[in-house]
Amino acid sequence: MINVDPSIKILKKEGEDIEFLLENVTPAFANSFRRALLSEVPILAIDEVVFLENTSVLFDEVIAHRLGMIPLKIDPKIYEVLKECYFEGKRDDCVMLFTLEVEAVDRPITVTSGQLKFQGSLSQFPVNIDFTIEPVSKNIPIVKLERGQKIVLEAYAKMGVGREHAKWQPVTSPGYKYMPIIEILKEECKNNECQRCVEVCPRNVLAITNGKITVTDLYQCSLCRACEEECPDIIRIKWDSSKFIFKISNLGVLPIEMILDTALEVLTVKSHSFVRELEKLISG
Amino acid sequence: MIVPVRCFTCGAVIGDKWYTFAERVKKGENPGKVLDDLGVKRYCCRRMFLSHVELIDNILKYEVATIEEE
Repeated sequence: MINVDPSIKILKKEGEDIEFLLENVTPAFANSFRRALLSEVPILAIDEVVFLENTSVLFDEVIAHRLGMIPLKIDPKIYEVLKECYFEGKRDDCVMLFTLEVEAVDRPITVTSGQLKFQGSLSQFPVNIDFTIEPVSKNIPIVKLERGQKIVLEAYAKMGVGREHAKWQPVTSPGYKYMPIIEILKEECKNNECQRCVEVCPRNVLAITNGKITVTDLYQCSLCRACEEECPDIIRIKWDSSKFIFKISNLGVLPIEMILDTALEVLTVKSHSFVRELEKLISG
Repeated sequence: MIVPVRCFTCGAVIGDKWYTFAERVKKGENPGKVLDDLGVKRYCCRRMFLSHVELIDNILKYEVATIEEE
């Protein structure tokens, strides 16, 4: 059992990609955290579309599906209110309206997500905050129109979670691996006998400095054990199953810190309600 | 038909990168290098680009024919 408090240390943050170290947790916790990130953090996505006119070559339902898949960037200051809406089961009270009206007059055009117009919320929020919701990218193609074709629609965005539909996933592919431990059993290397052990690594984790094998980038190790297979007497690969290297690439819907925070919050609430149910069973 | 909005496997947005990709590859650049430039790292997303055929343009041709007939 692990008795130390879990901790998170950010290793790398490049644009929307993040890599962090989760320490002092069990593999079961790491996995439930990963799953909560994917399927329990509520975000906005277009869920209902009313077509007023569609003379394009794509069917209404195809366009509606494409609209749904467009990730919507949520203003962080409005997120708390939207989250509340979802968790209290009042998701129909927090509906955002978008409109799209495009006609190809004299030349063919590609309708993109940047042409979606945000018309505000359908209901009055308890707090008076000025906010906008817009697609993460303005260049996502929705449909192509030939001269004379027209599309007019209203789209309603609702809160939801990835468990229900992948369009509500706030991140793409969160993955983790155990913290690698590379043991060098033999310090000195004579006559370049270690060269092959270093070269076999597909991720260039090892190097030879001053005739000794050294680990240059431990976090890059994928635990493939190619080096161990090549040089069983020199290198041994182990891993620490209480430390996890997480790699997440964000969609840009929310800041990654808020997503991690909400995922942990959902996990906490779920565990508490589980404990409460258990207590009811014991006492009743 | 038309480029998918997201990668089928991981859900990353790929639709907004397709036209840059198609244009550059048409000019003779190496598709792998263009994908690296665009920041498409995972092989699930890369296959979305490599295997996509933009058929909607061929269908739009027939739409022109109908418009001109009228």
